Amino acid sequence: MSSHAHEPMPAGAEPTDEVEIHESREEIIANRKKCMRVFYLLLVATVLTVAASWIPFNMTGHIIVALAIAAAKAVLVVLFFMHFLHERLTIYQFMALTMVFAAVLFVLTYMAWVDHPVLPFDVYGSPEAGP
Amino acid sequence: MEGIPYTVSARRDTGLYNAKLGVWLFLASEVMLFGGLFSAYVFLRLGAPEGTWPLGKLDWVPGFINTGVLIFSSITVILAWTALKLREWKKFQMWMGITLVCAVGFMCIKAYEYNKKFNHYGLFIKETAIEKYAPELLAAHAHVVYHPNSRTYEITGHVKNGAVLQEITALNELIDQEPTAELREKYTQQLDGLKIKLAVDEPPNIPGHPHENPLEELQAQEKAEIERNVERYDIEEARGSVATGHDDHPVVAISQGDIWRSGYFFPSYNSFFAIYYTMTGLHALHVIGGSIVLGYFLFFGAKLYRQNPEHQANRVEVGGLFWHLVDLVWIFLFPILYLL
Repeated sequence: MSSHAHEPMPAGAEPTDEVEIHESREEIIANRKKCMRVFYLLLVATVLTVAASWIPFNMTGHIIVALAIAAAKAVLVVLFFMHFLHERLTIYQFMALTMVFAAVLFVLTYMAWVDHPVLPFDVYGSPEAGP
Repeated sequence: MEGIPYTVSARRDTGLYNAKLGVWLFLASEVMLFGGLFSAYVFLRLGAPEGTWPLGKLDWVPGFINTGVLIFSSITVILAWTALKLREWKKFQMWMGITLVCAVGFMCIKAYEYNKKFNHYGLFIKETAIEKYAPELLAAHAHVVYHPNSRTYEITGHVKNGAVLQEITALNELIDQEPTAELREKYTQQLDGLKIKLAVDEPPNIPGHPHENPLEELQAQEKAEIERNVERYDIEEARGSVATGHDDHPVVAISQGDIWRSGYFFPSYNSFFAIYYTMTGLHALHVIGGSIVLGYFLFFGAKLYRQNPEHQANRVEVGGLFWHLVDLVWIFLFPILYLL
């Protein structure tokens, strides 16, 4: 994957010219070994997630630790299993844009949340509310 | 297949074969789909009154096993793809077969978990009636949560008598249709005779997060007298009724007239279960979809492999990329739903 040919476009060439993708046997096998190591790391991280949930932190501490481990695992999966580490610029651009939109999505939900008035009663109707 | 360009070689402008670009665009839309649900989770949790967000409602063991199963299936899909790149068809079949077995295993564990929750029951006792039940609940070491918005006390467990429950459900529907004061009074009288017997859950043991029983503030009675009133859950009697498998949990009986609302752990039970079923259900649909695609490559891929093995390898690569996303989503779902 790391050896994609990507020469500068010759003058007058069609922008859609085909480019051969070539990976050597050695590269493929090396990549497989790397993925196996990542796999073991992911298993260890999963055990750590559960082990950390037994440590008597307060709830904020639990949330920080669990999400930090989950984020580390996610980074490993994306970089190595999805071989994002050796991707093309186009994909980096798409995913950067996606992250921006996902962040906007969270901000929008946050805005809806702060905008929502705190009701003095339960939305289901409290037992004393009556008809 | 001759008509579709760039299945093996890359376009010069993107440097990618088309399917890879396509699948990454699809993954971007998936990030937005699950991102919306994750943000919903965050704000549902932040919006819940303090101390009311359910903790320890899911058993972490099946979730933990499923995490391992998905991570393992992620590596097997890579091994299957690598086998194709190295032109080892038999090995591809083996690793892809194992991937599919993992997918089926994941779904079986998920079904087991859903079924367990569908048999769990909870009810909210009105604040005005709680004193009646406080001694019993304290003696039973029941997990009690106070909900300040509705001014109710929530207890959960397994229902002992399903027949009573059906009658109660029927009456509840009547109340829902015509909530006039007269009807409410009429049915409340009837409902008082009906009691839900619940083999109650004990508080979850979460280190660093000790459970504070709201009833202890209300009651300080002698425990010796309380103990007498508690009947033990009878396994033999419960067989064939709704509550099975939850042996040795003390049973408390609550009059329907004292209950604000009650129900099984369905999505409608509370915000936690609503988001739990939504997120894990959508994730499960992705597991099913991914298995269908990967299964197609396994069972119907031999012809393409003979004609153009690199094309087949690329197909498996993009299918694998989707499969890794499914794994990725679960990596976050496991801690936020099972452990936090």
